[in-house]
Amino acid sequence: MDERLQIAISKAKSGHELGARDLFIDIVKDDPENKLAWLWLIGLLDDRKDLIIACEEVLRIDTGDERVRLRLDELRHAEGLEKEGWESLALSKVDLLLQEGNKELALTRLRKIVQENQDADAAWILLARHSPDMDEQVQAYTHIQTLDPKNEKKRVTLQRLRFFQKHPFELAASFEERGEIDKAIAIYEGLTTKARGRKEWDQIFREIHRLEVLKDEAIVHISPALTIGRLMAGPPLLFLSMLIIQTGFDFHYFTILMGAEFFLVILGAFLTAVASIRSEHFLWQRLGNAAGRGSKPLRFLIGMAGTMIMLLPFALLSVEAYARWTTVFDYLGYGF
Amino acid sequence: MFPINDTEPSRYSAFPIMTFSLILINTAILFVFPPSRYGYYFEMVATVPAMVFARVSGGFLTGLTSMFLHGGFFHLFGNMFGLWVFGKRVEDACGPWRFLAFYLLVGYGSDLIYTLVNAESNIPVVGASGAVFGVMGAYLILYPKGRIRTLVFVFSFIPTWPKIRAYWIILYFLALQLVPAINIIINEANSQYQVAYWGHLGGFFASLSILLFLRPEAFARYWSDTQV
Repeated sequence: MDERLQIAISKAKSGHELGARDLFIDIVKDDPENKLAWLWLIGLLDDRKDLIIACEEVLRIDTGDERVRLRLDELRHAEGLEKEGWESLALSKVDLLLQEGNKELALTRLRKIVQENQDADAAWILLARHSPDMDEQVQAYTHIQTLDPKNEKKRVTLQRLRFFQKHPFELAASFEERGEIDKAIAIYEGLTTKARGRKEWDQIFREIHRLEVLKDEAIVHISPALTIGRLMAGPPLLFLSMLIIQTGFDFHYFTILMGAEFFLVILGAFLTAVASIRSEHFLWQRLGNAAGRGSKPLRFLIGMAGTMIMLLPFALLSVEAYARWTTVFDYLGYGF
Repeated sequence: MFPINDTEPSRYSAFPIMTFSLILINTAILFVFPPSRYGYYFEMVATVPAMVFARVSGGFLTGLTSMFLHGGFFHLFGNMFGLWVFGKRVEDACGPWRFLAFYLLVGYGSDLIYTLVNAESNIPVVGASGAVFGVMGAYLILYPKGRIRTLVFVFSFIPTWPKIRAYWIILYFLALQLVPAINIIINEANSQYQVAYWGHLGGFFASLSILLFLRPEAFARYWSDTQV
């Protein structure tokens, strides 16, 4: 047996625990495979983290040591309970702070919780929800998804956040369209420090100024559903009124062609209405946009297609009305 | 009571280009194609409800042509003055192209309602008054508290020009239309009148419904009592 080990054991037996512990630590530093020294350390250490390390080392050297395994399980269980207790206490404090409106302090506490325990999913969720920093939100959602990979909702949220991380202007526009002008202004203000050149800085400044004017006017937010509804209803109603005039207010003269034209107007109006929606909408999500917002080229294409489809029946009806115009002379008996 | 000028400044545009263009087009048409030259073509370009119901003439196209024709200089002057006073700030609120679309739509709506009410009338109708009433309807929704410099003759002969709230003026003009309009409905007395009262009312009501499609937030703003 190593002489130092013998000295350490006799020191431990004679009650000089601190001195013995230091010696054992020196021994395992020099010889990490020394199981006996590790076992003595398990008896002498008082910090739980150190104890866990010592137990793990013994099990690394001798995987069949059941007593040490039991001890390790106990230690880990106790650590988990303590962590949970501390976490739940900390989270309840965070909740209280959030209720009081002290967001900054709440976020600081949340950051500490997740630093202590990377698996604290409740803390990550709160951090993702309340953090104003997009990078932190992405980090939080990444952790949440790692902890719960089957959560589809969180996956979509993370995808959306990554899109907005790359396109911050889109995020500001999204907030504006949802009527959250203050949040949109905050994003533009954050972007001023990252502006690439004077042109972009001017653009950001113009946007901030425009939003501040909007905020002062307290303009009411109109939801995408209402916008689609009103834009979809207008052209068909106009076309219907033209048909009524064209048929002389008598639906016996309503033809199948007119019915088909009316259907085309409805379809065209719907496409045009959808194209006019920039904000997040499930239709855009179905069309494969990560953020659920219509991209400019796609909106332009759909809008153009809708306008063409919608204008065709109007043009056909105009041609029909124009061709009928001279019948007025026969009606009046001028006989041209 | 004769509105002279809108005393409130425009906020977004320096000059109401579309209002001015419409006035110019209407005036040019009167001078290039005066009523004395209409002849046989008058029934073709004017709205004749009986012809619409008989499915002759240009159908909805006459609704557009009649909107740009006037019976004489004073007819044109009255309509265009109204368009200038009320159209400026409506155009300012929605932009020139939307304003043009709105103007054409309310003119057409006014024509539609006039035709419906006077279905058997053989009297040709021309004029932009339906569209101008439509613009007044939009003004009422967008700027109900706007102040209009108005020429008023006290005791019918003393001229004064106070600033009057827009809603008073517009409601006054609406009230002027109501009595004859009701008389037309009850007594079928359309031939008694030289003025298309139902065209005016039609334009006004059409504007309210069209504005709902074009500017729903204007309604929301109106009901939330936010000052424009």
